[in-house]
Amino acid sequence: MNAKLSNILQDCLQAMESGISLDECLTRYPSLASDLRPLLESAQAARTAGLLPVPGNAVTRGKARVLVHAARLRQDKRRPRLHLTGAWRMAVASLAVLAFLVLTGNGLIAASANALPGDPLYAVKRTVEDARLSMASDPQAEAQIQEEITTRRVEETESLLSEQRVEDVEFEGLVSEQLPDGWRIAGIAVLVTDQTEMEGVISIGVIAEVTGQTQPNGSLLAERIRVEDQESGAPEGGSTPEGTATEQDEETPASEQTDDNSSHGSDDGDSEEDSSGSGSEDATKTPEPDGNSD
Amino acid sequence: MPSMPKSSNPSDIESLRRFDQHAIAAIYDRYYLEVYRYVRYRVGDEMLAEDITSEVFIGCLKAAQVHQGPNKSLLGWLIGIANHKVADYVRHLYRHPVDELLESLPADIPTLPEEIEHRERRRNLQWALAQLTNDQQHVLALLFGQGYSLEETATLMNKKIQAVKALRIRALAALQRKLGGSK
Repeated sequence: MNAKLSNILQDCLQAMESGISLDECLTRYPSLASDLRPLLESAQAARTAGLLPVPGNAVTRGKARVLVHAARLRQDKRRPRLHLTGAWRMAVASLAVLAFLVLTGNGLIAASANALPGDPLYAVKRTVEDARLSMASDPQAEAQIQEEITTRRVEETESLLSEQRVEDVEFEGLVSEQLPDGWRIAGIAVLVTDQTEMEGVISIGVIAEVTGQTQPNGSLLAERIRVEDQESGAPEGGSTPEGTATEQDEETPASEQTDDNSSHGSDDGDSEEDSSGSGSEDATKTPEPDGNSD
Repeated sequence: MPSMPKSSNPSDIESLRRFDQHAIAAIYDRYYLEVYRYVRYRVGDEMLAEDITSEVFIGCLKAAQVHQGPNKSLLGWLIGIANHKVADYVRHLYRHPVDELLESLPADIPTLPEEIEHRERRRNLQWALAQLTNDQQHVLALLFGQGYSLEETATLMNKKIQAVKALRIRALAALQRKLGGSK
């Protein structure tokens, strides 16, 4: 009975998809009409639940976040870090924090939270970040802290620029636009000169690490821009498919927030990262922003 | 009727494992809407669906990092991750109930009577769907949300066609009860 009903249901659903009304379907199977009607009605309802418009810019909004993760995982794969596991990791981290607390006191840590590069307490802030990273209980937590830190580097740079201070900074983010005299990276206009050291091939849609100096006129002068190669030893002048890049992505990856609700996932994976920008040795010198290959 | 893209290019999976930026951007562009629609069907809310969809792609990168990955269909794999992410979210919601699924429906206030009625029906429907078991929601989302065929759905769910048909009947009957009960 159930198998029969199941097959007839299939016939009716197909018939209805081709435009036949529910009642017309039921007249074909009068003996089963009372069983079929509620099922077909809820099938109609289930179908309407899928008829929702997709917001136009939904695609681009999450893309920066996904690409930043990809860049991080790629770096991680390239430069595996010495892993302190379990108890060792805890012990080392706890000792570091303990020593720090004894030496400095908790107030100092709190006071350092808003420090910017060049401020006396900035080193404290960075040490606390490193300690938090090494104490992360699992790779997901660590990835989240890393994301926070990445966001913070960008925010610090923005603060320095708005205060028109001259300081050395480093940050990373999505390359979203080519400017007449540089690139927009993580939402910040980055000035490129012939003094700027270019590592890797920069194009829209890739993640770049910037080392540079904020200028009194509110611009950022790049000393070095580093883009992870797509593959080790990839030929120079790799492709820059502008079509797949996120040209509209004006928002910086920095503004992305990891939603705690949805991130405690069933998958697990590592996403650790060295915070320093040193690494791949195959630096390629590209003098001008139009070193962007064809 | 939309149909599921057939098996994916094996080089897609290879480029995922290399974390190749351009290839990942292309994969994202190709599958985003399909995954988004599925998630949106399951959770109702637009912003939440966007967020979970990003998580799906990030989850897929993380899995590729530890050399897990799809055997055949990249989309099938992504939908599978999406199903788990939604289930995780719902579990979280049970532990921290805030009635988000209902409250997070669009905030614009409808004024016309038919708009209000439409909105009310949608709300009921989303509520009723959320009351079903995870498998029941999954099968309805695939068959009626995505419009996949029985065969495609059976492949995605790793079940026999007969089992999918039986699950579909149970899901539709349960949905009817919930819809009736909420009126």
